[in-house]
Amino acid sequence: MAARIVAADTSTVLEDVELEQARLAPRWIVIVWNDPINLMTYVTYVFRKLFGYSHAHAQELMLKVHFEGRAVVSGGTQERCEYDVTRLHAHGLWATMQEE
Amino acid sequence: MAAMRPSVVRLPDGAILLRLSENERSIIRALVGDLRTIVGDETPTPGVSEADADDDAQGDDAGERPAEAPRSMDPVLARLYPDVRPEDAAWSASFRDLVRGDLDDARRENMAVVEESIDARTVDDGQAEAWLHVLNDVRLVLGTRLDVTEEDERAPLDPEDPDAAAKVIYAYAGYLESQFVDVLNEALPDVDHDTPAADLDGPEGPGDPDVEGEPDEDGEPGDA
Repeated sequence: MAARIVAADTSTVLEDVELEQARLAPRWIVIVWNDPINLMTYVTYVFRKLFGYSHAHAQELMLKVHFEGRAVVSGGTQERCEYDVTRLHAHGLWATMQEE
Repeated sequence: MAAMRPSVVRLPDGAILLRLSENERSIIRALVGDLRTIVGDETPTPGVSEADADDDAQGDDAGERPAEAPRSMDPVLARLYPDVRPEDAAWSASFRDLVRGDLDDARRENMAVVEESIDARTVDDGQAEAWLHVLNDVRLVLGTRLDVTEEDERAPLDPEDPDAAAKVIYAYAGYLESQFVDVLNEALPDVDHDTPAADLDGPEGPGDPDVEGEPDEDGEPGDA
């Protein structure tokens, strides 16, 4: 958009290329699904413990899972999400991951 | 039950008191034994669940909830080791083979900690964490076998129900687990910030119709 005005500034172009590459890298998200077994307080506790979320935010995510059926709880590279999903499974939560 | 005196109590010296009767400890010991028969003494050879790994048949609602786990999988195992990427059964089966050993090791370690401290008057936070893990696994197993729903929680127990005894045990495990959660929750440092990742929203916004409750009805992996 502003490219014509700053065309002489090559750093802007490089920055654009880097941003474009970052944008093209697939981004993954981790989803926790509602289930009738896990206690609500337990799910909140697991979100706090694994992700370091505040109690308020962890509770908000738990309620989203409970009332909407699921919530996105983390995201990032594929490796990052594989790690998070495995930790959630180790805690008995029903988690999946997918490309955003 | 709310009127009962708490069974798990943080003492002023930091230890966690287990106010459990001999009967309660026997029940928990038996539940750990039951869990051990499922997790096993060693992880099964990778690849056992691959028979249906290429079964990529998905319902039209594949985007709404995780697809069913491979049909050969026992519902309890499917609940303990869910598909990581339900849209890709083969990938999920390979990934499960990769991480299952670690998940099993962690479960066995937690069971061993509970068995070692089954008669203890007090436990430390690490031991309490193991008790919490084991109680939650026990409830996942019992709850999946009983096919519990969120409505069951509010329904009065029918003494004629052949599952009545199992349901009482399930309720007791939940009562005890909630106390471990409360005590351990209080020990976590609260933070007043959240990472940007915490602000993500789902692939679809809020308000999806009929997403709620769907897994409760028939969505447990491996139901089919």
